Amino acid sequence: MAEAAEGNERAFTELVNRYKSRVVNLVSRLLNDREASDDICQEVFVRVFLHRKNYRRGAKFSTWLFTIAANLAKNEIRRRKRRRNWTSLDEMQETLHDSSLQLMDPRANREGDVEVRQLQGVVGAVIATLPERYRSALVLRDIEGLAYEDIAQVLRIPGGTVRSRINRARLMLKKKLEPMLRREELT
Amino acid sequence: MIRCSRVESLFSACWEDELSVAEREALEAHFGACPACRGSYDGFVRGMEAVQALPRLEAEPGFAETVLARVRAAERAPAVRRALRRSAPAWIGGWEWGWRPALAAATLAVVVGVGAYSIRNSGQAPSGPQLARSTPGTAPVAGAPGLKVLAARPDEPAAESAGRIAAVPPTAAPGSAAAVARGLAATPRRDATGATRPRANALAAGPNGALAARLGDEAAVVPDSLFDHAYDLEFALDPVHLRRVPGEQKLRPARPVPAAEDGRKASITF
Repeated sequence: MAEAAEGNERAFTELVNRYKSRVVNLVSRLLNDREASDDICQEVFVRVFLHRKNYRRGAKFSTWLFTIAANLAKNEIRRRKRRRNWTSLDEMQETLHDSSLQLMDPRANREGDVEVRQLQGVVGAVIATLPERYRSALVLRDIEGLAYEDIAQVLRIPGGTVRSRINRARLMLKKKLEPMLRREELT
Repeated sequence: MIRCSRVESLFSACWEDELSVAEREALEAHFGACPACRGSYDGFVRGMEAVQALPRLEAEPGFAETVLARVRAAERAPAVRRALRRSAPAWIGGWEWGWRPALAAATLAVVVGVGAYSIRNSGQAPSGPQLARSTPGTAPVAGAPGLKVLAARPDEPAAESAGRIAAVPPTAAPGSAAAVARGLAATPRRDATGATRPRANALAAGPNGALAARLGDEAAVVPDSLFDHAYDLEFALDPVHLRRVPGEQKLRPARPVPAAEDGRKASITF
């Protein structure tokens, strides 16, 4: 990052290649929309480069990067929430269904994997139904595997609040997933 | 023995293996005696496993190249655009929202323009001489609610000002700024010696054109000016919604006014 901060394009490309997968995964899971997340992830790195002088040396780069990514994803979620007032419920459900399919594992193409793909799509869609503040905490912890302290820095909230949000998000998720997972077991 | 209502709050810590030995033992004892809570925890574990089994999503091929192209384009972009991007508050996102202040400024300009236009044209409307009831020195502007003529020549006594307003010709709309302005303009101007002389330009704008001819060159230079330029007219734009707080005499803004904006006046010169 130190070299990228000096404007070294090669060092910056190296940074992009190293972190792009984590940023794409984070933003896609927060939005549950793969197509839109590509554009936002690119914007994340553009902002990293443009604001490289704001990066404090010694700070964890991944934390700074995830802060930018989470903020941009948050803006997008809020923008969609406002826009949702003008779209019909049918359209919304259609979008949710499409985006769930996009977020399934692309390697799972065989017929036997269809159920797994469907379940992944459902889990992704259910995560997307969680309120934004709980969703961010859950994705950062349970999908990205960040430490509680890092999540507190990314979301700019106290450590205790991080824990309670994650706990709450997991219980919400359990409540929503339980009937579906039970059905899966029966079949 | 832990109660069922408390068990759920321990699920996360149990899943993360963060429970103390005592807590774990108590939870296991509870699970042994309560199949419902045991089943609930199993559901929790299944949900967590499903989340963690989600596949990792990879970036599209050519991602880094696209980012570099966007970075180069952003660096080539005008400094203004970047400044907008930087100044945009986090909650409104990126630079694309930077047009909002510009829109607000444009709206303000249109409002002021329409107000000024209505002031110019309000003299055509027939009406009675009702301005005598207006408070001296303050009159609402027709067609522009919230726009008020605050004061003219602060060195003048209020009584004189009131008399002037009462003398507005009936051609002006009641309560209109044009009426006030004409009232001001119709007042004889005092010169340095205290002697008075007629206000030529304002009279020239009146319906009686013959009068203007008698007033000499000054009227010819500014034949249709509504305002006497010797006076400073102050307009206060007050778009803040005020509400009455119970138990208080003063009206208070319905929402907080930024410190930089509070009490500021906009002066408009014609």
